[in-house]
Amino acid sequence: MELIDTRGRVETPERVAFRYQLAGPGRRAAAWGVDLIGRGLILILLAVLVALTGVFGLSAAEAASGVFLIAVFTTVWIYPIFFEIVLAGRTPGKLLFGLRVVREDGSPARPPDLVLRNLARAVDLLPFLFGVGLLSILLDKKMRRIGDLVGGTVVIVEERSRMGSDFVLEPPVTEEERQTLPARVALSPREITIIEDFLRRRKKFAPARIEELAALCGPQIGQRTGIEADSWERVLLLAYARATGRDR
Amino acid sequence: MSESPLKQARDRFVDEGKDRWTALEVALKPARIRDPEAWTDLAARYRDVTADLARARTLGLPEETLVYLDQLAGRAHNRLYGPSRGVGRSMFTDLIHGFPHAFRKEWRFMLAAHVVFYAPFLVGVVGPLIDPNFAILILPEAQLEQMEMMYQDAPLRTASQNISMAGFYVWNNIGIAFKCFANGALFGLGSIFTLVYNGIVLGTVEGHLHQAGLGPSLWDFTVGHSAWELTGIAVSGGAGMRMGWALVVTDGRTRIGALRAAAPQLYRLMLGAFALLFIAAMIEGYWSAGSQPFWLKLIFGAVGLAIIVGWLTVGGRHGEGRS
Repeated sequence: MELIDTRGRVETPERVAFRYQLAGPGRRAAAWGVDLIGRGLILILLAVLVALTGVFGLSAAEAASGVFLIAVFTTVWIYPIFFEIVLAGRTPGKLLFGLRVVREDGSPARPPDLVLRNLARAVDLLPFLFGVGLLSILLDKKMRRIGDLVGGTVVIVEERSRMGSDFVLEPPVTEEERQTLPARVALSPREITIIEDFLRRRKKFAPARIEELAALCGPQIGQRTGIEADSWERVLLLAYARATGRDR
Repeated sequence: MSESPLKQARDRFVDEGKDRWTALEVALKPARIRDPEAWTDLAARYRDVTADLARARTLGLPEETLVYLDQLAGRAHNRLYGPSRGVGRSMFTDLIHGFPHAFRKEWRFMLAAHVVFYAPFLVGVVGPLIDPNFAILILPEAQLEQMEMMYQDAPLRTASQNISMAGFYVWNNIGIAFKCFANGALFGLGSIFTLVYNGIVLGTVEGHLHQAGLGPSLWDFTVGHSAWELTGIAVSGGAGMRMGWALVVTDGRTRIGALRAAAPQLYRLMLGAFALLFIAAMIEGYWSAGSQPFWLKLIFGAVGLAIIVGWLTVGGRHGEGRS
């Protein structure tokens, strides 16, 4: 069975595979929106300046309008190419949302890849509001728009993670609970890893969702180890505490 | 209470590895690594971390740690295997040598694009001469009259109007060419449509104005930049057709694989199209509406054509800019 996963894999010459997190349409749209607003503001500012040059007469305004049209061309077509080359695969919007364009094999995107993916954006925009691009992202396993297919690129999320930080068992195991726990709890390494990931991440969810997730394996673990508590979340925490010898 | 052996093994692994991983992070810090010894050092640390990553998976370390090691190894990998050539230099080579080379390599598509563009163009030119009502079939009457007015008065442009028009040509013409290329992703049909449409419209305008007796001022304006502009449009359309072709005839590759195989040529062709159209916009803005005698404009146009033909036939023959 193939798991649904939004991660790409890279096989290196050292025969080690590492993974990267692919970016979904929502986050990419948000980054694009930020870039759009930024570009819009620049152009509005320029338009005001052009209007002001009218003070110096008709010819000044005419010349300024020519410069303005070059600026429109630059912000529409050159802006993403320029920034993705200079900021190694990121526009200001992507930088803000932790996105980066890389080659499909995870290596840094090269200027030709970036030029092609941005030129081909015109077809992703069809028939309106990124219609083709969104369809392509939804159909493609690596969530690539047409421009990505042409440029050979993917957009990834750069998680700024630190190495396994310490975490506390919250709330800690009480003296009373310790009395009722079985002397030995045998969990497989895989089970310990899964429960630990669950305990680390549960704070991100609503209480009802935490219990829902815990109920997926809580009953089996509870039955096997004989641990009882008033919630499945607590059952998992106690089982983990006993199996790893931690109290807090 | 004693901790389980597995937990101890994991903790020991992280304790021992921490310094190695931090050292690799430090080694990755500098924006540029010049010292060869620093590269050797980086490679050694990278190999260590890839080994650690494999071991971390076996030990079943928490997801957080695995993701951290994944990213660390990924960054080091990209550093070691990533590109190192200067951007500006390679782009220049790709334009000057790579573009003509790609143009000849993809000559079938370049030829097809020129045919798809110039055939409707000729129909447009000849049509109004045979039947005066032809032009109205193609373009709205108001637009035709507006064109006539433009060339009838033909007032000399001021310097500021030149700047204004040059800006307009960059924005409008290059934008159309880029879209013409991009729409080729629709199996080439988008590019063919854009070429045919622009060919017949441009041709009809020329034919209609000539038939209205405005030929001289029309040729006077267009002779200087036509070669640059029309070649630029045809090249971007041809690049789009090449892209669409890769999606249809894959030569045993996957469709995406065929697209990737064509990408280096597409890139060079579009660099060339951009350069041709940018030069055309500058000529159209600053030269074409000037009051120079017609013979001078004719020579200027002929020299431009000779430069383009020479560039496309001789450029990139000595191995530079090839992929």
